[in-house]
Amino acid sequence: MSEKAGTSAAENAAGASSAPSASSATNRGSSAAAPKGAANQGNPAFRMMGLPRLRLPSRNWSIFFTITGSFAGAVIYDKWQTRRIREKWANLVSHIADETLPTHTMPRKLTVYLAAPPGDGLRVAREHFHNYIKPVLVAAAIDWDVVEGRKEGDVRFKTADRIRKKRRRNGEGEQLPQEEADKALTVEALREKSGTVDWDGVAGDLIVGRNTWKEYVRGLHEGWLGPVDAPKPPVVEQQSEFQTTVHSPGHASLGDVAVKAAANTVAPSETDSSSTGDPKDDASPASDDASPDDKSKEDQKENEEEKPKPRHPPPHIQPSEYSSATPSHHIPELVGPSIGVRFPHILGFRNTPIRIYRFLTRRHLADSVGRDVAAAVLASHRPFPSDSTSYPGDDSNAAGRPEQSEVLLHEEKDWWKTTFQPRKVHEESVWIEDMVLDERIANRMRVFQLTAEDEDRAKRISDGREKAVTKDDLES
Amino acid sequence: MDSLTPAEQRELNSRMERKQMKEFMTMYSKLVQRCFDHCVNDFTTKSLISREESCVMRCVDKYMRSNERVGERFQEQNAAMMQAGSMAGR
Repeated sequence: MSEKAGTSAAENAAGASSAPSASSATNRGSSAAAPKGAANQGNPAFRMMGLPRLRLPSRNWSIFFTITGSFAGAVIYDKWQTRRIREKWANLVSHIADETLPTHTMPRKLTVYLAAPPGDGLRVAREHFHNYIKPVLVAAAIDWDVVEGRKEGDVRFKTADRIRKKRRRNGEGEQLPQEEADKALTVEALREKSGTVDWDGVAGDLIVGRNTWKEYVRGLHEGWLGPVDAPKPPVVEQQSEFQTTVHSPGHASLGDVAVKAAANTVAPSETDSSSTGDPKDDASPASDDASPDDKSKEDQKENEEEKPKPRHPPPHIQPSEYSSATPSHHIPELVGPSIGVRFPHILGFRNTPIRIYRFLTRRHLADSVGRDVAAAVLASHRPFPSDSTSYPGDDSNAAGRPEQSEVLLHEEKDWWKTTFQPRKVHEESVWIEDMVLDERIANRMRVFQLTAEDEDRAKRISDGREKAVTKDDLES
Repeated sequence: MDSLTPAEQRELNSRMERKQMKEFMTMYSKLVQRCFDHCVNDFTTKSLISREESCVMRCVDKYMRSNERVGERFQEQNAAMMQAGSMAGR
């Protein structure tokens, strides 16, 4: 190893014994004694080993690079793995996109229920959907429909409303007056005319988040067990008017009190409303106050106008009335197989370490969500275990609680604490109430679960042992 | 349609027919162009080889089917727009 001509005496001393020898200890000692010279020569240890004369960073820079480098490395590794995992699940289902579809058949349509998590907005939920759920749906060319909920109770109302619409189309309940032209122009009418049929087979629901799941189950029960038409508000002598309208205005309380103030008769109205036997809507408290006093009625009316109105009409049936209600005749054998998709969401400054950890382990979330969506896409479903029978591979339900109420239960720990405060009058409280399940509906629910062979296939795809099926491989 | 006299209506009908005929011919020529461009590229022989034959058949099939599907969706959208328009007008 050639040595450059040194500039200082110390260097000469060091250079004298620069040949690879056993006297490295002495060499190091001499170079430490002459710092300036040694710095120009590079790390003596490197010189000993014969490595090129690189400059090691100082202690502070080393610390900096270690911290930055390890964090960046963790992020990059996680991003790379999430991309691979996303591709794995997309490749598992991509063969569905290449299947032929007759011209007059609509593609399969999944319904995605997306609600804003407690304490946050809808955008977070949408991003979660875009990042983890949508890629698998797009890879399989599945059509989807999104039911969005901004505030508590939105998803419940929309779910129940959809079911009621379906029931109305099958002929139950009072039909809304609709003009002939309108009837002919609806999408359904056009499709019937041209002979387009819907996909025959299970459709399926994807529910994102525990809060959405609760609202979904409540909406499901309300839709199938409740009456198709809104219950008539317990109102006064103008009852003949109200009987013809089907959609009683959601703000029945306002109308009630205004009518009462105008009508001035309260006692006969009470007997009337009780005789109709309609389920009372508990969500309109003002209408329950039937105070016979004129003055207090006027005060109430003013109060009502200041109070915020509930977002949606009161539910058509309360959970307490489930057991006494009769389900619709048109209820299908399977109430859409469904699956609850994880949506981890946590707020708070002191939760920052947890959030950092979750940010660095998003590959596990991508895997879990991808698996659920792939199960829904491949339409492999199993029944929820009932209390009496124990399903093989079931979690221990020692308390006997049905599995539907345990879906995504762990997410409730993450909810922001204001969620658990008592609600104001005009707000719904589906999230904090216990889930009330009616057997007739619960027995018709199914959950999507990936079969073992599909799991194996997914594993083989991720290992590279199996390739995703492409168009070229298929026979046309 | 009611505001036109019978003579004008007849004129309108004939014009509509001619327009439809023209559209049909346009679609036909587009179809031929597309299938030829995509399928036929071997000019060492005058006649269609079997590969090109089957390709052309499938091309026509797919074209007509996609036309049908798009037409149906378009009709639905049209009807929805008309419905929305009529409802807004009410």
